[in-house]
Amino acid sequence: MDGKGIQENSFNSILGSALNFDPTVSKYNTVPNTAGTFGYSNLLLSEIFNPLTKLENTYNKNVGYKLYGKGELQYDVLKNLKVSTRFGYTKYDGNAKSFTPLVFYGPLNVENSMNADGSTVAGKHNSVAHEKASNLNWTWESFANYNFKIKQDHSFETVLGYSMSKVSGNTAGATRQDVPFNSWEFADFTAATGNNNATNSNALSGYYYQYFRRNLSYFARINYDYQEKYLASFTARRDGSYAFGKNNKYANFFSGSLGWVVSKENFWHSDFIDYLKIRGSYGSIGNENVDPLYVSIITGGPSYGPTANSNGYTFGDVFYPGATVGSAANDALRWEKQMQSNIGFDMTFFKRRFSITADYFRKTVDGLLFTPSASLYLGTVPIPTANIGSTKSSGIDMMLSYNQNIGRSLKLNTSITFTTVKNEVTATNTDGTAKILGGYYFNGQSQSVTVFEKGQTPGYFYGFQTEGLFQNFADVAAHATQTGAQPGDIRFVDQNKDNVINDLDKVKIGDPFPDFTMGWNLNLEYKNIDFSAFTYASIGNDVYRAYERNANYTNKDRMILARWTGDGTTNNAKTPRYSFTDANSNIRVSDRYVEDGSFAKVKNLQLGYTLPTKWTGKAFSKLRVYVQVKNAFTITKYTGFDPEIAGGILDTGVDRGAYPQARTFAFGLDIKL
Amino acid sequence: MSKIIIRTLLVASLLSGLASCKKWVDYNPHEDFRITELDYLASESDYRTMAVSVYTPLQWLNQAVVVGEVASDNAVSGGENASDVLSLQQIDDYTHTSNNSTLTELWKSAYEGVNRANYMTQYKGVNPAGKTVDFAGKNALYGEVYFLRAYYYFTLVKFFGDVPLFTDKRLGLSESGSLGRSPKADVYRQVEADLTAAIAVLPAVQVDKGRITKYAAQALLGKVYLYQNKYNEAAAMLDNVITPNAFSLVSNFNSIFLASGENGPESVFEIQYSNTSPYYNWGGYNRGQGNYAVQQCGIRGLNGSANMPYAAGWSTNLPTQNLKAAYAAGDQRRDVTILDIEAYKAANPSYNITYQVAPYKNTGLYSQKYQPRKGETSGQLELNYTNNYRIIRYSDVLLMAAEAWTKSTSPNETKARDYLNRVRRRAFSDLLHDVSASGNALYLAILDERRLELAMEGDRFFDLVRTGQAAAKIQGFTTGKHELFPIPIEEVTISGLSQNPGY
Repeated sequence: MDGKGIQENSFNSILGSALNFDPTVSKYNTVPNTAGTFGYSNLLLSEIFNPLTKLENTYNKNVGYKLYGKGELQYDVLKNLKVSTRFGYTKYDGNAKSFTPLVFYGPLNVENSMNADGSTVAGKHNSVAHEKASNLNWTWESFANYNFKIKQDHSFETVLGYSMSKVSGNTAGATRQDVPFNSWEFADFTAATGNNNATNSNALSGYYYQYFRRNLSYFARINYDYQEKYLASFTARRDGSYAFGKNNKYANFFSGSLGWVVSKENFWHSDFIDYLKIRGSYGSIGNENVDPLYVSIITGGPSYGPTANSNGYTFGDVFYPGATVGSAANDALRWEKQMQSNIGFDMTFFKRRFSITADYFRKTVDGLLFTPSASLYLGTVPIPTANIGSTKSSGIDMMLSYNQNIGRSLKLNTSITFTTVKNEVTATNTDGTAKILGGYYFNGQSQSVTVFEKGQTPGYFYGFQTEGLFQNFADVAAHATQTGAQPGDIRFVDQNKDNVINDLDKVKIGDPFPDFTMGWNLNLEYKNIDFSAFTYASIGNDVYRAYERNANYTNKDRMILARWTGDGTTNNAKTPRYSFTDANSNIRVSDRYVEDGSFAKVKNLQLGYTLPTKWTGKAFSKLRVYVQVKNAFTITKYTGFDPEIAGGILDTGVDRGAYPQARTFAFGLDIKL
Repeated sequence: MSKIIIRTLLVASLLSGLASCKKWVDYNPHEDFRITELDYLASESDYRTMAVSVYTPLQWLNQAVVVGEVASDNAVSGGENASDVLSLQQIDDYTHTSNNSTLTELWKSAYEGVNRANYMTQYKGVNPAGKTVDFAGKNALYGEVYFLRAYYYFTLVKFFGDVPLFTDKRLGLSESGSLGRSPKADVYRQVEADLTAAIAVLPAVQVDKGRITKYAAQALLGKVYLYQNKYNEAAAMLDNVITPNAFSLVSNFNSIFLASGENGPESVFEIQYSNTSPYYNWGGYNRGQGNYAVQQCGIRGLNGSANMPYAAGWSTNLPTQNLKAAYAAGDQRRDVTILDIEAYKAANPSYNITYQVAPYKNTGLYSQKYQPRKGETSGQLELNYTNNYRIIRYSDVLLMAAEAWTKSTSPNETKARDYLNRVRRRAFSDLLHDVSASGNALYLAILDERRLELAMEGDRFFDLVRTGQAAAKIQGFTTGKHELFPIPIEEVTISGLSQNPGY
């Protein structure tokens, strides 16, 4: 495996720069005797750069090797009793390198590490970083199978066993400054010349860390089948994880299913319905994707962890290393349990041309594992992961398909899927009042847009509701007190009617989840030509536009052309007046940034032609050529790049400049020998 | 291999697997080479090392000084443009709201300090493993811890008013959202109690420069009294610092603010910054060992000859012309406090200075006391300036004592004038500028002197508020609202704390 990456999904990524960079800058640098291939801005002096300059100065390379294997021993103890032990492993080694060159971003830019004449800015260095990772994951399962029949028609399959698994790895890295010729060609630890000295202790540095996880499961399963008419299965697992405290290491998970093939019954006589099965199932699984939590003491100097929980102090000119609490325990932490039940049927009818699969499903998550936001007065020790609450999703899932041969040479196969889901948080803390904040982004200020709260969609958008613009001073005076408001600014709704606009007026302003999704699959074959298409649609999902850096001279959406310019020009809250100082904070979290992210995407189009055998001769049994377009096009009203924005529970639908799915054109050959 | 061997192997491996199962999911952090709290605070050295880290969040409070000036008539926010350093722009423009990253960071840093101090006091008697570790000097060490907790709470109370108050332990996740705001008076009572306890055990002199002394605690307690208008107590407490003659005013005002002047004879309490453990984490730019505020207030694009002393910065926290005009002719403090870049350039042609005019809210002036200087940073240059904050200077103690003595129920104006004129004589290097006023004129003269003496050191806004002058002096200031900064939005949303009036 081989790869190279660029930053995305934040305002200071390359994509963020592309969206926000000064649009008046020419592509190429035309100033004589000045470093840099691409143009620079004299207005944007930090944070956001010409994306081409950033791209040109992004150097990294990853190489990885993966090896996996499996070994199994089986022992037939009795005729129907089998004992097996099975060992599987995956070994992965990665090797990564990145180079941070000296860069000139423009004569006024404060983040230059290179001067206009190509010389180095005093005190700045280029650097190369290496990282080697080595991982080994294995699972060892041992189990016994016993299959038997009672009175010919009652078939039983049983399994009893246990499994152990371990994930482990370690990573070592080194960074060195002063790469010769400021060039990727020489970007290697062996060529760099940096050495630590009294004024620079970052010239040469290294690190190492290791990690592991351990799991254990006991399991049992019974499958029952009566003449392929009545089907039942039951599974029990007891899973253990090293990650939880003494009292919560294990959790039990059960699942079962029942099925009845009605069409196999003797009483069943239908010419219309060919097959009918009614089924129901219940299943539960666990999630233990957390690290063990305990109160650790970190010693030494500065910390580079997520909360920069630094240590140590200087007395006079001498640095004294310190010690402080570096992580917190959560003794109540336990397995997250996901339970899904569904009831539905499978049916084929009308000479097997149509089939329907329909389910009502209900999924609950109990004790969702998540790192919550918490009171700031707890200090800066990282907040431990917790079981933050429970969620419920329910809906229906349907698929209708149709296939038919029309005439002798046209084959048609098409299906439509339809899914609705309703998501809700059903529990949080004991009194149900907790609000967990997420969806953080930066548009001049750090903002949080999503909330996890009982009775609401998980990660719904939370902010101010707008009601048009103030057209004149009389409007401002007539409205609740809104600090800094001027004509042309957004009027925010005084939800609690206390005559002042403040945080208490925030409400739900959007929902990142769709009302329903649909898919349409079409396959056509005509003689040697085949065609397939897959279209997917999501209706009713909101997107929060969070990629605008919104600094004075950053690029703006074209919407700004329709901005308020005087009394009566517009009352659209999405286009307030433009002011550099923004005393009204028009950039606060509000429905101004919420857009309908409904979309329909043609995800795949493929046209193929199978060469007649008389041309291919005997060399191939089949030779097919095809052209394919992936992500052919998207129909959406969303103004950003791509409305399909996945994310964790509190980041769904928050578009910070996510890299859009690429449209890919492909030409291919299928060869069968 | 024969079948028997394979079968034996299989059975043996199954059994051995089952046998080791029970322990398989046990976990000890030592397997990850991590020190837990049960391993620590086991020796004198552990206690002393952990006490060092109670000091650390002091360094993270570097924006407290910037806010104390930008919010006042002394300085403007500056920066690249109106959208740069938005949190400071809004404080400068008096449009700040509960969503303000600078204020949130101050809140979090001060509370981390409180929690670190609490963890020490929580395990003063017995350590987390249940053992008692006694050593000579333990009480004096705890004096430093009490001082620091008092300093963190004092910062909180002067910025935010009523705040959650807890002293029994470091809080954990289960305490999230469990506290309300305690009245300002209760917070002050705790601050006074901690400082009183610190004074009782701290030595007058510390071997390590920058460690808290008894005088530092007395000076801070004097200040805390003054903030509550407890003039009698303040006067007596501050005299404890003055009478022993342990401090003196440095005649060359400029030398106080040079690297060589750190922890000098005038220094009562300084927050120590260094680049001895250089920091490079932009994710926590405020939380290193260096003074980030120094980089902020530098001149943009500054270039010049090798012996030109200053380094470039970001033109933030710029002194106002109003401040410059407040200095009388002959006052040596003016050019030490304020760097007029054009005047400096003209006076020093040999430096060949070029620079970029501050792009926003330019005043042409820069804060000279904490100006970035060449060679005083390393590593990630922006984050590692070594300039200590002179938090309490002896001149501050003199002026506070002067103020307290004029307002005391048994005023001593002679003493007050003496203290005030000591500061003025140093400023003008003569006796001609002595103040002879009395009554309210004397009081106002002392307040004016505080501005001139301590400008750009972080006290101005709080002095104007506590003396009731803020509305008259600060444009945009609304009485009844802006005396306090807003409680961070997260604390309102997550913790359910009430908001300050008007926000």
